[in-house]
Amino acid sequence: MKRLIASALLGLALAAAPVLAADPPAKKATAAGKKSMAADGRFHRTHTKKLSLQCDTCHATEQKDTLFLRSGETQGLGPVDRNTCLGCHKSPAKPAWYDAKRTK
Amino acid sequence: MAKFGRLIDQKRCMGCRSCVAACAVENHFTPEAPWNVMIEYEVGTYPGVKKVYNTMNCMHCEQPSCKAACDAVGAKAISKNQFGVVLIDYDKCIGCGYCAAVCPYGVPQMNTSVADLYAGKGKTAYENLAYKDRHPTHRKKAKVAEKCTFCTHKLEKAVADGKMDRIGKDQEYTPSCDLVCPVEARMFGDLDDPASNISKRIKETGAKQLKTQFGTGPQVYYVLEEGAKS
Repeated sequence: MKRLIASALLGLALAAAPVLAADPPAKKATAAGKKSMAADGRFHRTHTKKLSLQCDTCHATEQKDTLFLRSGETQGLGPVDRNTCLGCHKSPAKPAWYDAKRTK
Repeated sequence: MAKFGRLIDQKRCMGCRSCVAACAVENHFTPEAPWNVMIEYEVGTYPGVKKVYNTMNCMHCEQPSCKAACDAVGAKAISKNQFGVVLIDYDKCIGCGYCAAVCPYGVPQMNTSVADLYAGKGKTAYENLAYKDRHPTHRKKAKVAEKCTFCTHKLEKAVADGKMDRIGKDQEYTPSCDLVCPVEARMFGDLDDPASNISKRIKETGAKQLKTQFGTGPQVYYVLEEGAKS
C-alpha cells in the first residue's frame, strides 16, 4: 500500500513538474510599481485616499512657475506649484522635504 | 573641505545657450532629459521692457529635497558628497519620480529612454564610448532619474591629480558649461573659501539664491537682472 501511495505521489510530482517549471515565478511587485507618480501609485494614493485631498487642492494652480527646469512639462494639470507642498512638507513636519537639517 | 557652487550673472547673460550645448555634449544627455535649460521671460512694461535669461541646472542644495524624498521611499539613490555635489546612483534609482515631484526647481529628469542626442544624425564621439569606459554618471539607463552633476567627473579628476586649486580655472577641472560662456556670465568655485573668486563676486554683486522660501540652501547663486524673479 505504501509503495502504491509513494508511486502515485511520485507520478503526480513528475507530471506536475513540467507545468510548474513552465510557469514563470510569480512576478514580484516592484518598488517602482508601488512607489510611483502614476495616478494609482503610492504618491497619489497617499494624498487622495489617506489624506482625502481633492485633486484641485494641489492641481488648481493656473499660474506657471517660470523658474522650473522642466519648463516643457504641463503645469496646469501636471506638476504642482511646490509652494503648495510647503504647507505640509516643511520641517519639523514629517515627512519634511524642505527646510530640513543640513545634510552631511 | 571645499563646497563647490556656481554663480550665474543674468546681467551678463545674452541667452546664447553655449552652456546648454556644452553640457549636452559633455554629459551626452538625451533631448528629452536636459540637465541644463535656458529659460527666458520678460520683465517691465513698455517701453522699459527687458528680457531675462535664466539658465537653470541642478542647484546642488545643502538640504536637497530630492534626497529627502529618495531616502523616504527607501531607494537611497541620491547622495551629497563631501564637496557638496548631489548625485544620483542610476543602479539604485527605482524610477519612482519622487525626486522630480518634490524639487522646487524642477531639476530631476525621468529619462524614459536612452536616445541619441542628435536624432537621425548618428552618435557623438562621447555617445560612442563603451559604458565601461564612462564615468558612472554617464552610464545612461532608461527609466531612472538624472540631472546635472556639476561635471563631477572633472572634479574627481582634479582630486585625483591633486589639483583642487585649479577647479574653476582649468578646462579639465571645471564644469563645461562654465568654461564656454563667451561673456563670462558663469563662474564656478569654492563657496567655503572667502578668498575664492566666486565668494568675492557673490559678495560684491549681492548675488541671490532662487526660491529661498523652500529652505533647501541652493549652491547656485544668481546676479539678478532688475525685476527678475527669484
